[in-house]
Amino acid sequence: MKRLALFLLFFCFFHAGSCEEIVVCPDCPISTLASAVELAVDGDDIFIKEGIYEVSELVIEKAISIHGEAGTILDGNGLTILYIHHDSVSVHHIQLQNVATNYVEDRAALKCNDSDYLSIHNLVIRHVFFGIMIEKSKYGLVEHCDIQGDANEQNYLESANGNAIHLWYCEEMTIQFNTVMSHRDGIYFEFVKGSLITSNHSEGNMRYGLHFMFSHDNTYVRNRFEKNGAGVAVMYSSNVTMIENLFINNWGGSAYGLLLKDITDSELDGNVFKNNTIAISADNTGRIVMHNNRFERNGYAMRIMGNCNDNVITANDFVQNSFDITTNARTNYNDFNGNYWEEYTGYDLDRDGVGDIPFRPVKLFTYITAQAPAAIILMRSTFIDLLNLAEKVTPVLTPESLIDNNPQMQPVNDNAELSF
Amino acid sequence: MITLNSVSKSFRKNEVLKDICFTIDEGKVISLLGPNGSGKSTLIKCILNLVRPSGGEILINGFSSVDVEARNLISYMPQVAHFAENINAERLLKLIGDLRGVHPDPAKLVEYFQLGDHMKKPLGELSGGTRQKVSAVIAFLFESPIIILDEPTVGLDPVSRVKFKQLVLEEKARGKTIFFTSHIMSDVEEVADEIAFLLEGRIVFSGQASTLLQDTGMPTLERAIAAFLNTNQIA
Amino acid sequence: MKATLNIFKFVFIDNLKSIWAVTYMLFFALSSFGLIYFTGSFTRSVVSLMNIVILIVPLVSTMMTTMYYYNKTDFLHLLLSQPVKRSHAFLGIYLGIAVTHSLAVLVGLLIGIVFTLDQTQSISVLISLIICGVALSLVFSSIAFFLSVAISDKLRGIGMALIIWLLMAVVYDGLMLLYFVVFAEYPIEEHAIVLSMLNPIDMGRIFIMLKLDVASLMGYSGAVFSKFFGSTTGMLISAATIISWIVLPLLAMVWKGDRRDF
Repeated sequence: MKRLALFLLFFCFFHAGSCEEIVVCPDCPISTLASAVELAVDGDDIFIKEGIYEVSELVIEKAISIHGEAGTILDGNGLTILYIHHDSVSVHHIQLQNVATNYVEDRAALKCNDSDYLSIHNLVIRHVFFGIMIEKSKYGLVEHCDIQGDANEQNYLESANGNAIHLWYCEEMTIQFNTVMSHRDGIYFEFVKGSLITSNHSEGNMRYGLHFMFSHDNTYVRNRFEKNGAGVAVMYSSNVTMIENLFINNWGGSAYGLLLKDITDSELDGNVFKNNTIAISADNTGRIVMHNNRFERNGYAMRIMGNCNDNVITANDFVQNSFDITTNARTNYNDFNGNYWEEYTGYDLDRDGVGDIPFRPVKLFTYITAQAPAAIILMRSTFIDLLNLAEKVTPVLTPESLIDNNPQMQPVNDNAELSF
Repeated sequence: MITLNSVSKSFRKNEVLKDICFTIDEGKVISLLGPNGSGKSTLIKCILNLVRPSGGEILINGFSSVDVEARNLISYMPQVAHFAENINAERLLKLIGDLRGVHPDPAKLVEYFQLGDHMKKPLGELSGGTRQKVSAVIAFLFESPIIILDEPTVGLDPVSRVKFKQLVLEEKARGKTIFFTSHIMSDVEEVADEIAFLLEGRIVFSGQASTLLQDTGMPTLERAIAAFLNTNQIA
Repeated sequence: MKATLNIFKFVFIDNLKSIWAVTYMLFFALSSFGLIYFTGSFTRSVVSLMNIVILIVPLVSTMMTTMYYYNKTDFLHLLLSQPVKRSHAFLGIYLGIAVTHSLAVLVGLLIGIVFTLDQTQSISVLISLIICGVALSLVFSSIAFFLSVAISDKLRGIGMALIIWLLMAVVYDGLMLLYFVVFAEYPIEEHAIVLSMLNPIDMGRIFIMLKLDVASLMGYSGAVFSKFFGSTTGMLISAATIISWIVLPLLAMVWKGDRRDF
């Protein structure tokens, strides 16, 4: 932000006198955005007054700022509205709408390419295929945008719905305070590096609330991911930092709070997972530190596959989950230590807050169902309860080393009411 | 009239009744005697169709014992009267009345056995003797031509026993056929016209008690039976 | 059939007034109230309640039916010596027992539920729970009644009834699990459906579980299960199976009762 402001100040200073405001309104001498853009030079500011303007495939190749006021609407009439193809372009306080689904090209309300120092904020985007699509750009900012699509469970077709915020080959971007709803993916990153994603609200997207692949060194802080078809998917990336995010109500046959696939050297700290079918599903992940997270009322708190290793799971709270940990392997190379497990029934004679006998979070039944999925039909049957009890006393099948040697007697974290 | 035509019954290999031919004439009181395990209960249950004979047939006033109609002609008083816990005798009488399709007024019998308040108490709270009396009321209430009693006087106090026997004689006088088992010989001597003696599944004697006394030369029925058993065992 | 109705009324009132029926009813009232009121999580309390229903209802129905039958042989003799068809008499006694059990479960759960209405998140789950409890009462009274009629020895009869309960409540699921593990490589979801439908206790459990929306937890298999049990065909087949579990033992009981000696 600061960097950008400085830059703009610097820019205007060198173009002293030419830093003009061009006003567009239906009755003004300049009544279309296209003619305003044509007139403008670098550093100009185009102000679009209230009204509905049909703007299709307008190319911006100047470092200008375009903004509107309440009631300023750019209607794409089915086509992409703005193509930005220049550094230092700013678009804000405008409503963009009506970009139709197209199976040949990815149409978006705002399509940016090779545009560094973008500043996109306070946009309202409705009825579009893709929302904001940014490619090969650096140092950009997207904030306070409200993007709501038309996808719902009845009409959803994966190819007919696009992503709300879509980034491809970008670096050092900041995505914050946005609301993204009812699209395919809420926020989609592919080959994005060193970016900060914070305080966004992603809800009711058909596929993933947040979806990224091959995107290293990114930080996700205080985002809310709610009721997304399949939760959040994080794949093929390393150095991912996720702090204090809320994953809530991602419930369904193939829904996850957070799906980790091929993730390494990352950190999950202080997140809250509530009411998800599977809060975290980890597949081929390594060297991840998960600490101070809260898992509450999930179907499975954590599904950790046999190909995961060297992950450290410590100081988390596991409360009221149907199953805490499930795995498909009999060996375990991850470290579970010092977590609070509500299911723990051990005692603490020396009153140091740590249970005196270790806790095994994998129940025999979860282990069996990982091998024989149809057996899930026996869930909560008396026989299974007896079997779990027997296994608890003398473990035979469940991973010997998947054990918490320092189970906490009280919840570790105070983030139970994390909300934003 | 009850006619048994070569009735036999075996439970698995155990032959309990062996080819029994026997007639109980109308208007008579007949007592079925025999030691424990001689098949008395089985014989009664055969007549009531609780037990199906393995061979032969039983006719009750011309109806086969298998016929539902046959049981309309019979009233039965079982040995133990443990019918229900939490329901009173009045309700039980109503049930039996509903099943038989008639609802005679039990007041006379209730008074006769001095059951009064007991009729409204749950059956489970009644003493064995009182329940026996209730059972007797059921047996005599419905004016069935045939009344079958299984050890009817066991558990009754002396006064009630006398009353009970009195009632049997009265009913006989009204033309009822009464068939009962008993181990109490004095009762048998008092009320029975004829006795039938069952031993190891066969009727070994049937006829008037006086005949048995004469045959054995004994003064009492009890002794006569003991003597009879002795000679039969030797034979 | 008028005889059946009369006998039913008599046995029903006799049972209804017994201390056992009242205790049984109070048990359900207290456990449902207690679990919903004190557990905090609605889903958790329903799951606990479900475990009680699928375990206790079959056991108590079985035991109370056999006990009643064997303790009331005099009454049975009295009834059968009346001009009544055996099948009508038996049916009347069965209904008297089974309706008492069902009613105890129904009223007990209803009391618990009514007093915790403000904590209820889904009334339909609780209704399913009641339906399950009533159906299991009818089924296990029916099975136990058949066993009582078929086996004349009291101890053997009660023992057999206990064994059947143990088989259906516990052992059956163990065998099912064994089957799933052995054939884990194959798509056996349909087999799982068929196998669980053969056991009314399993059906009751699945019926409630699917209502609790844990189907999502069950992954692909769960989707298959909920699709089947949620479809009209599935529901009709389930209902038909439960009804056969009530009717078939009764038919067997009538057949056996007509032939045996008392």
